[in-house]
Amino acid sequence: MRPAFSSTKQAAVFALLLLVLLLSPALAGRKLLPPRERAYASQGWGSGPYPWIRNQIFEETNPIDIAFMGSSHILQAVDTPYVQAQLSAKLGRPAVVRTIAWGGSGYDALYGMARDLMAHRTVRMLVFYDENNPGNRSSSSIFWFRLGEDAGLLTGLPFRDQSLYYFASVIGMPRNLLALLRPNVPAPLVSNPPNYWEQHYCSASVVKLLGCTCSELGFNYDTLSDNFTAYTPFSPQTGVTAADTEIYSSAAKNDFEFVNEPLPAWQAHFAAKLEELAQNNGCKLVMLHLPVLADAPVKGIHERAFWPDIFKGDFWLVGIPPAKLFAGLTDQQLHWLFTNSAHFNKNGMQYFTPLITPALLEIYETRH
Amino acid sequence: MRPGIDRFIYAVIVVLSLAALWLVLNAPANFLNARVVYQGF
Repeated sequence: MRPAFSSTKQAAVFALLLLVLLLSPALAGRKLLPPRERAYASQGWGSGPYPWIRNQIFEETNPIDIAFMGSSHILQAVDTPYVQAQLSAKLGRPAVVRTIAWGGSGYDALYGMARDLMAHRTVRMLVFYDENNPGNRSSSSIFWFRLGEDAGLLTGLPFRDQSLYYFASVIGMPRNLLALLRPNVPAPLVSNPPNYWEQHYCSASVVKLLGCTCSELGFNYDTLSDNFTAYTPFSPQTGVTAADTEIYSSAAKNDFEFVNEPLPAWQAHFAAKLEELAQNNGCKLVMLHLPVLADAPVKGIHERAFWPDIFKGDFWLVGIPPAKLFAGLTDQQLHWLFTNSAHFNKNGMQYFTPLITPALLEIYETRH
Repeated sequence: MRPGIDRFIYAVIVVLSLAALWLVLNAPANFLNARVVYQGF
């Protein structure tokens, strides 16, 4: 059998190469990292609406009244221009409401991007949902987690999670180093041909929608790929009203039901970081219960943890009992509201948003 | 070169390779999908 290396020198060079590669995030430290803006600029539309996210974090500077943040469920759940119009009317001034959302759930990405947003803009109220992802981890940490800046975030995490974020920073290093030599040119906000979200998900412009996507697509019954059925415009006629939206209070009777599953350590870790971030920035936190198709017959608003124990400060929990939200709808009509088991299409978004908006505006304006 | 140095270098390669293997095995599949990580989907 031929030896792996023809000489000791060759073996030493290989060892050195491996060492530099594995230690590259630590060797680069903070000094060899390009500005964070360039990390976001490296992400195109195909990875998520990152050109919009970069624009909102690093270019726009005005305070945000309400930011809807999180992964794809919230990206497709809330008609952001509608909420902005309602809040503007209520406040008697132009309000600023934005959705800043991406693909791939997790409290880590939510914390990472909320931190970058709040470092550059005032956010008065942040609305998010339970970023539960039992089976998968968002690959977005490859660009937002950079060891030279974020090593402190690893303190308190289990070794396996520390290893995972370290590996993310190893994978992200080539792009970071390349961005030092040649800055990434961010993808244009408006383009012809239309971007991925406009083409693939048949949404109007993410920019015009203030960051959300509104898919004119029917239900996708294919669990392995995107084979959407034809879109059927549909406005559910149910008895539900905005008054059915509930804001959790320990003092009042309501339909919230807490299961109290133990959160995975990394989720609890980043949820706590998010809470600390919001407190330090004077930002209200609102967790919005987003219904999924399977919830339709459920009478209560199921939460897997008692969130007020985790988000202790200016925190509210908002939801509608799914059985009320979807009361009287046939199975086919239910499917007309979703693009898949968990994501609303345009019908679902336009049905859901006016129902939850008054509660959100009430929290924004009056609750302290 | 002395055989001791050879052994040392090979030991370093083995340790670093095991470390790299651990990082890869510990990572979710989407971290290793170059199309997702570097290009988008």
